[in-house]
Amino acid sequence: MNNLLNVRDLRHTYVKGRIQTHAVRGVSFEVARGETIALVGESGCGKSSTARLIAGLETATSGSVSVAGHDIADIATDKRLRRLVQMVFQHSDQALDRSWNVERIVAEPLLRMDGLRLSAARTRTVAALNSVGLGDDFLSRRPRELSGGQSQRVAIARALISQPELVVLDEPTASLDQSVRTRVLDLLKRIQEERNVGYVFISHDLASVRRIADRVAVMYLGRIVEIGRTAEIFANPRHPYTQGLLRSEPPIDPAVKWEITPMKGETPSASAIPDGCAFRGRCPIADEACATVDPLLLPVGSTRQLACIHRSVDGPI
Amino acid sequence: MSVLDVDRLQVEVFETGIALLRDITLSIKPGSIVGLVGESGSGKSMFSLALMGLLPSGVRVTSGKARVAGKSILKGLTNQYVNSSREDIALISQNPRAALNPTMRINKQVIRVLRQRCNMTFKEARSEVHELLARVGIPDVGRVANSYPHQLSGGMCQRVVIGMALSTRAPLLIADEPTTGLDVTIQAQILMLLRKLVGESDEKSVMMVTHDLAVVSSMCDQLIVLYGGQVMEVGPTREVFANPRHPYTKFLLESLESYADGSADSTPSVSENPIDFGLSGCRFSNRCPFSTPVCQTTPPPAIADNTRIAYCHNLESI
Repeated sequence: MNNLLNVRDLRHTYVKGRIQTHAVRGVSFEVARGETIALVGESGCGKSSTARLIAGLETATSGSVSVAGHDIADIATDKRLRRLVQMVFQHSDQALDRSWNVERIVAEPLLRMDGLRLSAARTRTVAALNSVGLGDDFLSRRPRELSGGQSQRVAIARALISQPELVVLDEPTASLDQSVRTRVLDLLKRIQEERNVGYVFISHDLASVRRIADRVAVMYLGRIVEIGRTAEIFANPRHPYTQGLLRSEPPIDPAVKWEITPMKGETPSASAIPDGCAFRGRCPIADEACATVDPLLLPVGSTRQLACIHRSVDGPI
Repeated sequence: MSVLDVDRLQVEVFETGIALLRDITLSIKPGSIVGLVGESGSGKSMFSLALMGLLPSGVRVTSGKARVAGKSILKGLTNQYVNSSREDIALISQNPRAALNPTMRINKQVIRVLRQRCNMTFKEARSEVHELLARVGIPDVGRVANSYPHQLSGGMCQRVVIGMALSTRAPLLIADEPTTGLDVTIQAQILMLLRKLVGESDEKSVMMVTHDLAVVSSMCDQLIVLYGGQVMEVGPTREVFANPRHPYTKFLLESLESYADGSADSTPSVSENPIDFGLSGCRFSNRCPFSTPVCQTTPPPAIADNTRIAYCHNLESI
């Protein structure tokens, strides 16, 4: 296996009193070097939980995550390996220490993992800032002096300074204005081309996903229901959930009349998951068989996998 | 007669005299959905707060007129809000859970609105609740009516708020980012519902306040673009999207398009300077690639062209 990231049958259950919430229910995928995979889905689909498990911020109930051949449990505890995986959070303004200046924020991974002093890290800190388009005049600034786009750039610089091989990006552009969003995504793409770093990109914004991801995994209630190449999934979604999700995006061209039948209902709670296919309550093609069979993620063609008993066979849709 | 008529409305921070909204002039025709778009800091939310009479303390309307259905909502030189304005405007806010009372069951809240805003008796209001909830597409009406807001999803709460807003006789609905916190499938449900319900009435108009151009393009007949508390461009949505006149609108739409189709570097000519509310001229002039000295010092004139207005000094040379 030459993959950068291997995720195997990952499961995670949060327990609070008598309530068990099954956030992640058997997720498997891999990411190659220099590749971006996007995890998409509605709130409660388990995409952020999966991201936190991959970044080693939480320990999975079962299953495995390995990055560059090392188990995530080792990476999370071993200072020498920790640099392999870094994470960028949604609210960068909250993820940055408000009392530190930008230099210390960006250099922190070097201070902690390599034991460097701030002054010795200066050259690399400036280089990291430059790579995200910020000059060395930012070194002495504090988070409150940064705009939303700038603080997200600082967070990206901090994630990149330790030369990680995998970066987990949890909704990195969700709180940014449209025009700034475009620039941050282009920046991430450019950095990837230069350093061959792998990205796990979490988003509910399908337009961002289309712009940055090589492959997409669509999640519903803790499972991947469809996974494949971005262009192919957007051009020809096959799972009824993916189809409903893509259709729900309003068109950008006002000359196109937006007439759809919205997907009915809402996502059920992850602590009361229906038997059979978890999506059947909202699915337009569900029948009795869906209530009894729990669909497996099976290959359809050479580049796509699908979890639907009605669509998992090749043929016209 | 317009549902909303705003003439040179100015909103300032009282102590410093900084204009958060400058010379806002616009009107909304009956039966239309108008999009008020802008990025963060554009003043779009401040504008709806000004209309509602909900400006934060220290911020005031200092000049200008605002009329809803022909009636002024600002009175005399002191610019006090006239009480009746609250009956002419209904608000659908970004956070529906905050708009509902957390300690009261849904049916009780709906009954209150119906009694206060529609002059119904308690009995009439009570018999109306289920019908109102059903009209906004709530499937399990009895259960929802008996629930507290925290027991309902965000989408469900937003339906309740929309139902209450539409039940009033208010001719103007302000929808401030009505779907921003919702998932895209729920957003589609809510937008379709809003469009259907407004389509059924000839008198009601909606002002959609949003940063999401895709929502505007699929929902709104008219478009008002704000930047730094100043109107940049006004016009029919289709025409503005097809042929933006103002440099800021061009920039906004280019960043959206290049974003959608994944094409590389978008509009590098526009600088990333933050909004400068101290500028006496055009608020966009410190970012605009076409900026000239006059842009820095003098507010831009309104250049009208049939159905459209753009506020810019240099329209001819662009």
